[in-house]
Amino acid sequence: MNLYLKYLSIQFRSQLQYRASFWLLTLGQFFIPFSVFAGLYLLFDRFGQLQSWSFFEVALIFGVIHMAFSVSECFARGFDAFSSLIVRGDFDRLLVRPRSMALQVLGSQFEFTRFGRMLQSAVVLAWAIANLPIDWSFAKAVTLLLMIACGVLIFTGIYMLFATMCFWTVQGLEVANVFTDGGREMAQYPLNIYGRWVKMFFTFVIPFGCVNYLPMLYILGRTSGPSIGYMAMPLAGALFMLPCLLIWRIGVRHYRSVGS
Amino acid sequence: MSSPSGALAEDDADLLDAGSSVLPRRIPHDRACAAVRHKNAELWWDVPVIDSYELLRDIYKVPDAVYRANLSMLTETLQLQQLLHTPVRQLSLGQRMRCEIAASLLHGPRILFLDEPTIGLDAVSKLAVRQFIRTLNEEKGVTVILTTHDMSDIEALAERILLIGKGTLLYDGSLTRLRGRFGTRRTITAEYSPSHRPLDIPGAQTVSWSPERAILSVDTSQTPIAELLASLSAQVELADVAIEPMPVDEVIAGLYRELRL
Repeated sequence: MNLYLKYLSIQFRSQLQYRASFWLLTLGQFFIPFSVFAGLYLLFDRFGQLQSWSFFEVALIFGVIHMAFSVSECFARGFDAFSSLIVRGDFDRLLVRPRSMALQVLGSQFEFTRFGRMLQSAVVLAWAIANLPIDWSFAKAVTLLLMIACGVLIFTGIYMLFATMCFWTVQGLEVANVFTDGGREMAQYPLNIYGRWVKMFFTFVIPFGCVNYLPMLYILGRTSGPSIGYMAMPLAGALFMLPCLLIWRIGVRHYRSVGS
Repeated sequence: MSSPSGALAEDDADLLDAGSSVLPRRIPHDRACAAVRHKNAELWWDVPVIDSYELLRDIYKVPDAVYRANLSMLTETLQLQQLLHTPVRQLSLGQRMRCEIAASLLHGPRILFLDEPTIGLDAVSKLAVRQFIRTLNEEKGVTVILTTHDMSDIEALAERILLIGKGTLLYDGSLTRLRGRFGTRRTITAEYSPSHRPLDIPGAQTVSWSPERAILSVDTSQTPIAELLASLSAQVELADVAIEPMPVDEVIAGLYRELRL
């Protein structure tokens, strides 16, 4: 953990070397999801509500998933951009060091310009929370944090899966974006508006529904039955991470150098 | 050629087979070896060199006292004082190479792989790097495995040469012995007053010829030098003659030719 922070600090100083570029990118990252969110707002302004979901409820779901996405893009960027590490042959260098591979890959790259995106998501979250008549309790606050944290784990898990593919394909796979960007776009709306197969997929295969939609029902007080089940739901995200880690380790063991 | 420090699987290991008397089959992971290569750098591009060094210290868990001792030794011998607080991207190639080499040695590895360490360096850096490698080997007992195409590196540094071509080991031994195989060959450069008649020296091969200058290659066990000079001066009016042993490049090229590679 200590080493992770040191990686963080050196990368942060590196990116700040190009100050103007850094701030412009951060600003840009603020506005990308902003335009998506503006679209959402206009849609609700015109049609009132989406199945029985009000604007602020959807905004809360939107905020959570975007927050998870931007945090994972910032801090797990090393896995997201892993193919460059393989192509340049830098991965070989990491292999001879007495540290865990996952830690070193995480530390190899951070994308601090995603702060803009985080800020935007935080604003949306705060706005939604301020306008929703939620009966807040300690348990609900914890659930909300757990949702974001486990959402980060799911995105990171997907990055890891596709990073592992690079051991065989060398080049990165754009198809990963179907699951990360695609998953984010799907999960920014309540899951129950989709068809059965979509629901199943995003609950049992890539459990975005578990970190977002289901516990959200509990926070909004729309559940019937024991709330503890809904509260614990985000942990499915942590569970998703386990096979990803395992596959990653198998990949590392099978790795051969690309040569130089 | 790729440096023999990448991750090779067992059946890729022609190179390791060739060098198996040099390297243990599996190099122990922790702190044992380090590699300096051109393409992938150990240093972080945008921050001062010293920041990278401190991060490397943490990665390799180098104890503080060891780190400080190594750093001051490296700073002194590689003359890094001026460079430590400069961002890497502002260094020249030679300066960066010196910093890279130091970065690889902070954790005190016992084996150092160097892949073309002097390629593209200015004369001063080249000599400094060479001098340093020699000191490292002699004083610290570090085994240095050098992959290079620069024959002057070999002449200056190598005790043992492993010549590899098409995945097989062609030669394993000292440079002197290698020279010995071609040791009776001499290269003769002759300058003379303009003459338009091509030289015809029995027992010598003409490497190049111009009306004022010719380079010949001769095997002195077949054709004694005196005989050669006699026939030379009979054909042209000699101005200057230089007789040299074969350069290392040609020794190597000769070896490749001999083995038809």
